Amino acid sequence: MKPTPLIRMQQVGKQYHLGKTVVTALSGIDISIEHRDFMVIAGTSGSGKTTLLNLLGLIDSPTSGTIFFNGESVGDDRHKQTRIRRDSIGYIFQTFNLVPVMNVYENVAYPLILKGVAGSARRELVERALSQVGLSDRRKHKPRELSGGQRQRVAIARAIVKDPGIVLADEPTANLDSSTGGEILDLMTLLNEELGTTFVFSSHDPMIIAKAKTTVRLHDGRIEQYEVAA
Amino acid sequence: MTFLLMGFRNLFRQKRRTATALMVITFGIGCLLLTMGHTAFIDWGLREQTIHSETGHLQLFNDRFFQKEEETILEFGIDDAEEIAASLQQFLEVQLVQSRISLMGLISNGDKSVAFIGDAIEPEKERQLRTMFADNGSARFDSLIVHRGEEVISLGAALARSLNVQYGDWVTLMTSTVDGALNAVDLRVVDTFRDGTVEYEKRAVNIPLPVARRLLMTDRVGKLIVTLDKTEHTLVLRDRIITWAAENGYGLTVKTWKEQAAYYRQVVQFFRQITGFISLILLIIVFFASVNTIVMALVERTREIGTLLSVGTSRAQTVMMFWCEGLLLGLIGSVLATLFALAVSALVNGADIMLPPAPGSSSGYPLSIRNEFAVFVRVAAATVVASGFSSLLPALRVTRMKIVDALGHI
Ligand SMILES: Nc1ncnc2c1ncn2[C@@H]1O[C@H](COP(=O)(O)OP(=O)(O)OP(=O)(O)O)[C@@H](O)[C@H]1O
Ligand SMILES: [Mg+2]
Repeated sequence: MKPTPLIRMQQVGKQYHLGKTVVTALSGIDISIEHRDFMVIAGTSGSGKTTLLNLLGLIDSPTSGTIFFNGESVGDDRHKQTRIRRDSIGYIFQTFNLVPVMNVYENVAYPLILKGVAGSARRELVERALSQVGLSDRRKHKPRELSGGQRQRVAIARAIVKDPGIVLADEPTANLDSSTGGEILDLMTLLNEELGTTFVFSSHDPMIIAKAKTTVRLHDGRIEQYEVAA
Repeated sequence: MTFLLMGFRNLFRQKRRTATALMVITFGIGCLLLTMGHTAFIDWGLREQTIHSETGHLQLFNDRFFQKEEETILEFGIDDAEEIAASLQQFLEVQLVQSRISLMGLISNGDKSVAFIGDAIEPEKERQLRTMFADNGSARFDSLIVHRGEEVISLGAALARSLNVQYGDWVTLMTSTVDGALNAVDLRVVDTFRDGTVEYEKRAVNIPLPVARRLLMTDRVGKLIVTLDKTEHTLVLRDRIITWAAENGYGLTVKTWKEQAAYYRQVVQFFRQITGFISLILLIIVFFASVNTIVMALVERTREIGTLLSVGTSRAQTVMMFWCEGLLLGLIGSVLATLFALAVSALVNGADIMLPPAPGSSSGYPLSIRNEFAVFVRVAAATVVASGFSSLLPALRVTRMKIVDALGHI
């Protein structure tokens, strides 16, 4: 029997109502994200990548269809959504979105605080995540004292520190130069292979798209191509 | 804990804005504390002055004095004044017990007669009473003390003028005795005194207690004035004296200084109203200073709120973070305000500034500030509540925010 997918979308659609006009950002989306997947959401600007990732990350709700998390329908219970986000989803933003008043260490520790992990367990997890992204020596720095690539590494550490089932990343390399972007992608690949962390990220950079295991190509809010590498 | 710490750091992110808000709170609440401190000073000063010149802490009357109108003077006076006064010394807190009789009648210089209102007193004890807190005009009784045992009188300065009498002149006091008969006594003027209100000064006389007793043909006195070591002991001693009087069969009613000090009550009431009004205005200012800080913070940090929510912070936790920020603003503000008030009051109290006299009063009073710990605590608590409340209201907006919108979709 096939294992339950981590996240499954069934006929998911998202519409925006702008006055009288209705913008259909996504429609008829069927996606299955398996454990250890390394999936890219590709597509041109405006094709619906961000919208799709927001729905996967439970920070937005679909106007139609159902999202299953570990086989269970998410529904629109806000507390349940918050719990899933807190415990099982890591999120990486295109613009890094670190908390400016916290230093590197505190930013990475924050998700553990939310989960109630304390003391030496928390310390060890944070140190491990920092060393995985190669920033152990920057733990006292404030985000604004870091380069873009370093900030994104902190964001990755923050996403993986709680060992979530899945890490979602919306164009994680778009704000970085191509070599730094490549390093970030290599880091994600490494974490995927070594820790088995599931990654879903969006991109329109062919170089990056090529490294994914699964490619979902969007066009005008519909899936144009769904390709699972052998 | 984390949220408190984050609130603290977030507060100092916009240094200038927070500094402005803190300055508003510090200055506003500091001024409130100073106003309250000055009111407390006036309250305390007037209280102690009233007690240590007029009312003592407790006044003992014959029970029936308050139940029925007297038909003749001292009908309901106190019979065993000396015995009671001696017994009251058993209470360690009792410092002084003295008798007084209030009497009215006519005073004459031989040509002209006018009505008088008199107090028969024990001059040594009156002087002692008026030196216990500060010197509240104790010299007023010096001549009566010098002429102890003689048939003498001291007149209000305005009365002496109106009768055209001076030191050494003789006047006649006429009044009805306890039996309702008329009686008169000739007394030598040995002093005049001034008193705050001219109306009173035109009628007032002081005579020694024994003279009054002979004039009224009685051993009774009108009331006993009991002065304690500390004003704070008033209520405890009242209750103990009531119990003691009942056990010993003295039919006495005990009144506290506050019940007898109408002028004190009016003045204090007046200052309380002013302070209450100022407090209200200043708390509203604190409210808006902190509403403004938090509303601005919410707008500026909307994206950050989106981030926090998307990594799994609950809305309640996010609201708490902003709420902590407001509470901290109030807390830091009230600490600064306290320091401000302490510093200014030290300066003011050291500077010996005199304020002009209040209407109807003949002398000015010092600008002094009396800082009371309980007041500081109460004001700080009110400030924190006001700022907490004013930050909670806008912070609750977080509960209605959509995460994607907050993150700034696209
Ligand atoms: N809040 C919104 N209100 C109205 N329309 C929206 C909103 N958010 C997105 N859209 C529309 O939905 C569509 C998909 O947008 P989305 O941001 O998902 O695209 P994208 O693939 O992420 O584009 P990009 O590569 O430029 O980031 C677009 O047509 C966009 O105009
Ligand atoms: Mg996008």
